[in-house]
Amino acid sequence: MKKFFALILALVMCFALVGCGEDEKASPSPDVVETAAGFSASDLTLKNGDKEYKCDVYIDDIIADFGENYVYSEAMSCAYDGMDKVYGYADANIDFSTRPDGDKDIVCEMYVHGGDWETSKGIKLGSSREQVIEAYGEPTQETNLMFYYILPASNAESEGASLYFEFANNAVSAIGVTAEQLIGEE
Amino acid sequence: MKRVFALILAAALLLGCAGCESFGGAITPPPSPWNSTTPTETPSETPSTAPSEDPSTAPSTDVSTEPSEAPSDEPSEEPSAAPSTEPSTAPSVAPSAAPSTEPSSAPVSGDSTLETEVAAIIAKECPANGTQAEKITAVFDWMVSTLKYKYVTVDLSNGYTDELVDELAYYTITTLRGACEHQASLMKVFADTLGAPAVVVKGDFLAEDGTWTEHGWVIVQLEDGSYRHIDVLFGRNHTHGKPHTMLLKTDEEFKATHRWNADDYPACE
Repeated sequence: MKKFFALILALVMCFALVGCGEDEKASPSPDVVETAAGFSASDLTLKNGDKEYKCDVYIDDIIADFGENYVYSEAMSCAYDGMDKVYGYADANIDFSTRPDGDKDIVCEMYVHGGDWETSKGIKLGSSREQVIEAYGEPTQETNLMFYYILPASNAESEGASLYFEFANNAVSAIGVTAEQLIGEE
Repeated sequence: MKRVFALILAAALLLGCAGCESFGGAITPPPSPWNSTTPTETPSETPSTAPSEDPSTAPSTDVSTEPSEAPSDEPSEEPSAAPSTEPSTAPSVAPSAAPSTEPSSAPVSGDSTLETEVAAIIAKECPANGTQAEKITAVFDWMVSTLKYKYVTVDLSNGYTDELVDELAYYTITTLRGACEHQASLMKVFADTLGAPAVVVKGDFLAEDGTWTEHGWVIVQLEDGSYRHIDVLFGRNHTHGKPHTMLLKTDEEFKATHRWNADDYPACE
């Protein structure tokens, strides 16, 4: 009987250690992101007054709304096939970046750096780090200058949509929203 | 007897779980500045991310909304169609001594310096007793899996000077994003720090649509004296999930998708 107990004990310990070994090997990929507790797809917007903007719309629609008075820059993308294009509206303190979508260009990033812009949860330029965390939870990625809130991508070939905050002197100095994007050629 | 048996089983399971916790604690990586749950130091300035005109392809007279990255009017350099297979007579990985006249968008942040940020990543990602190649591979993997592409143009009219490389690298490591110039610059700083002196290459890559596009990557000199190409951004974005096809490669392995002026850079043989 003692031998039987010893055998059982040895088996149990073996299984326990096997479990530990698997935990060690399962180093998470940084691409596999955990969504912050207070962050969801509904937060991927920027508001100014009663107007709200989001990515994944055609730049033509943005131009129709903001007008033709933008600063334009473009370059062949070294990340995607086609051109990187940016439409900067200095008066509105917002830049729209696009990626090719067939014959059209679709907004893949919005970036605000001044004015009365705010997020769907009321974070504005000048808000503190603590206020951002209170609104969205701990960031998915963080550096000394940035908070990134990133949604998991819908497939392994893409990177997730994100909301990010830049800080200067412990206050939000710019806010950006990016769309989910395919990594590489399109 | 059954109770004794159950008791022993329960005790064994508890011991097993305790062992797991201890084991897990032992392999917990050191705290990282990238996923800290506590607020970090207050930066003194914010990075400029405003795009500006690409010097090689954009015909517009862009006026960036943020002044820290001035566009260049320098025409695109036309690299040779194929790299030379002859050893370069005087390869140098030393960057140009001339300072950049156009500061890039590197932020400045409290006690954070490029050296401290790079050291933190190396400490976290690189195997302590790994070879130089293993450590370079580790930081390459970190970059591929962490950095995002961001179109931010750079004035390369003076080439990749020390100052420019440091600014681009700092921008990249503190914002986790950047264009090819930024990511190549950070790779150079990582390689330099790991004892593999590197140079940023100014060349082109072949896009899937068949067009050659201006691009930047690095050549590193390994401890055995050999030179190898590393392209972080291309590895992430153009290899269909096989980024290591762009890690520590020879001229021969790179020339199908990259072109550069072989006279300006060491031969990777």
